[in-house]
Amino acid sequence: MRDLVISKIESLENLPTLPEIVTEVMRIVQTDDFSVKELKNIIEKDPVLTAKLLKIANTFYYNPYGKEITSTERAIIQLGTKNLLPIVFGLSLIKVFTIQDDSFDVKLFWKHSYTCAHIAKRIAKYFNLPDAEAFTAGLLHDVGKIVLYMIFPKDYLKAIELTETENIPMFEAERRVFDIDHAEVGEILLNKWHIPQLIIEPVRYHHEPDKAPSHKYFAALINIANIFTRASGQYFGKDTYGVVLEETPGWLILKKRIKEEDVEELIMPINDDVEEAIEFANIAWG
Amino acid sequence: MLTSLGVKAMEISYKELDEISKIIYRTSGLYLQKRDKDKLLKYIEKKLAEGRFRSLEHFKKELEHSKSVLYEVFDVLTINETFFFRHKSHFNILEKEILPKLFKEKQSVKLWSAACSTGEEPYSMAITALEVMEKLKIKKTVRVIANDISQKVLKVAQEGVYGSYAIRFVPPDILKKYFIKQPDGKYKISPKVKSMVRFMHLSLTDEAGMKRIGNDIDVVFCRNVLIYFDIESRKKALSLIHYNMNKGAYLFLGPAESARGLIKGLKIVLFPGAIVYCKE
Ligand SMILES: C[S@@+](CC[C@H](N)C(=O)[O-])C[C@H]1O[C@@H](n2cnc3c(N)ncnc32)[C@H](O)[C@@H]1O
Ligand SMILES: [Fe+2]
Ligand SMILES: [Fe+2]
Repeated sequence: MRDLVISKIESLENLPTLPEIVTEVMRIVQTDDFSVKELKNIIEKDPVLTAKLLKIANTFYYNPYGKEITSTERAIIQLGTKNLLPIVFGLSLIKVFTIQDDSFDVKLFWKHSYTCAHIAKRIAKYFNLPDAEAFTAGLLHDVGKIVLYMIFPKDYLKAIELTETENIPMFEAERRVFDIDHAEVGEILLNKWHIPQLIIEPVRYHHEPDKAPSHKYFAALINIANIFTRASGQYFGKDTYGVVLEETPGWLILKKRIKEEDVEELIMPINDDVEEAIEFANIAWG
Repeated sequence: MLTSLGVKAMEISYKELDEISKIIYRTSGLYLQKRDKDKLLKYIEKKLAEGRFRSLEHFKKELEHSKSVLYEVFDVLTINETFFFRHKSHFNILEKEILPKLFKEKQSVKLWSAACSTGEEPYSMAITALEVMEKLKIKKTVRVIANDISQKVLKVAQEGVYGSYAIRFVPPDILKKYFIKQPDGKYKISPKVKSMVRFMHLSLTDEAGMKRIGNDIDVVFCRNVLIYFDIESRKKALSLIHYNMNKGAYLFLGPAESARGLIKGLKIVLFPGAIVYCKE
């Protein structure tokens, strides 16, 4: 099964490509000097995206006390150029994967992903890790699930069932059914999409951050963000087992950077993160 | 989300609201979510308009020094209430994870509703235990200890008769199974459930009294009560609770409450939808 899965993704058969606009924004922000004007011109090629971007710029999260923002340029400045790519990603991705099947709860899948993105962004600041990239990595961390489902829907539903009957995590169930898990699958897709390694590595290793070759802390961050997301209730699997925070691989890696008295303040705001994430997701759904 | 906040921010800024939330967190251990802050804002504005407080500064002072203002805020945030299966995800975890594991390990299990109010919480725990036993087709001894400082609420708990508000989240099949509908339309808890629960008039900070609970507790719910205490009492109550817990026993606090800064010897365990403490 493993080889079949890999070859299917490699061929990108029936799999979406990255929207042009995301690729373009990605290319621009990777150059050393770019102007807000350039970004604006790209964004405005897509009126639907532009409208959504303005909505995001006017959410409480990005614009808590300010005046209403009505121009794309102002919006880009308000959001911060470093946040632009993650947000454009966040607004486009949801439309890239179209699933009209009731047995795969695609809304819940995205709520989980957006919540993870928001939690990752918030706690990245605490750890002094790049928060904009944390958002993107959080958003994409489980993308392999949706890919696996798109290629082999029946088998994937079997794997979901296994999480319930065996009370095991999704990646375990996938390994049993496909001999490969969503983290690896995500990596293959994101490589096809030419996403930077800083993002791909935490996606690939979010369940085993200790194996990450060069961005171990970042992978650990997504590991913790994912566990917090599960604890927030925005969870896609049907397993219910408990995880001891101090024994999770991400925590073990980042432990040295956590002050004992800060632990709960890292956890407490997760319900705020959920609210922000759901607002974001709703704007993205349109 | 907080559009009303954005508009009203002219009068009380979000920064000030944050500050007030910090005072509440510091004095009570209750973490306010954004939607709580929204409610709080409306409350403060109303009280300022009524002249109850002269200024925001005046409100802050009162909040820090008078318990009654803090309690009023809790009322506004509806923390003072209780009902069956409150914080549903806690009961999910009890049902799916904790009780099945306990039943595998031992013949008799002891649960505790610390600050049980009018009884909805301990009865919900008992019902959950009955449901798990039925599903697993096993028979175990389950006792639920429930205490509160108020005689008044305990009397209601003992009577075990509830109106539609208290039972609004009880699924119909559970309602049918464990309640008896009264002629006046109220619901009385069934004798089977009632016989599992023992009520005690007892304060969580009463050292000698707390020993009477016994130090063999497997699961304790202590939700929405510690916030009424000052730090010292919270510490004291938590260490008395901790003392009564078996090794590996679970402690549930209200979803916005925290214990870690106050007491050692508790591990944080994350379940889907619930964060629970476990005695090391
Ligand atoms: C908001 S109710 C919580 C009820 C229930 N645990 C829940 O979460 O729904 C708070 C209860 O704590 C009780 N209480 C306050 N101080 C107490 C103390 N020192 N010892 C025991 N109970 C106390 C009050 O009488 C009240 O019934
Ligand atoms: Fe995952
Ligand atoms: Fe995940």
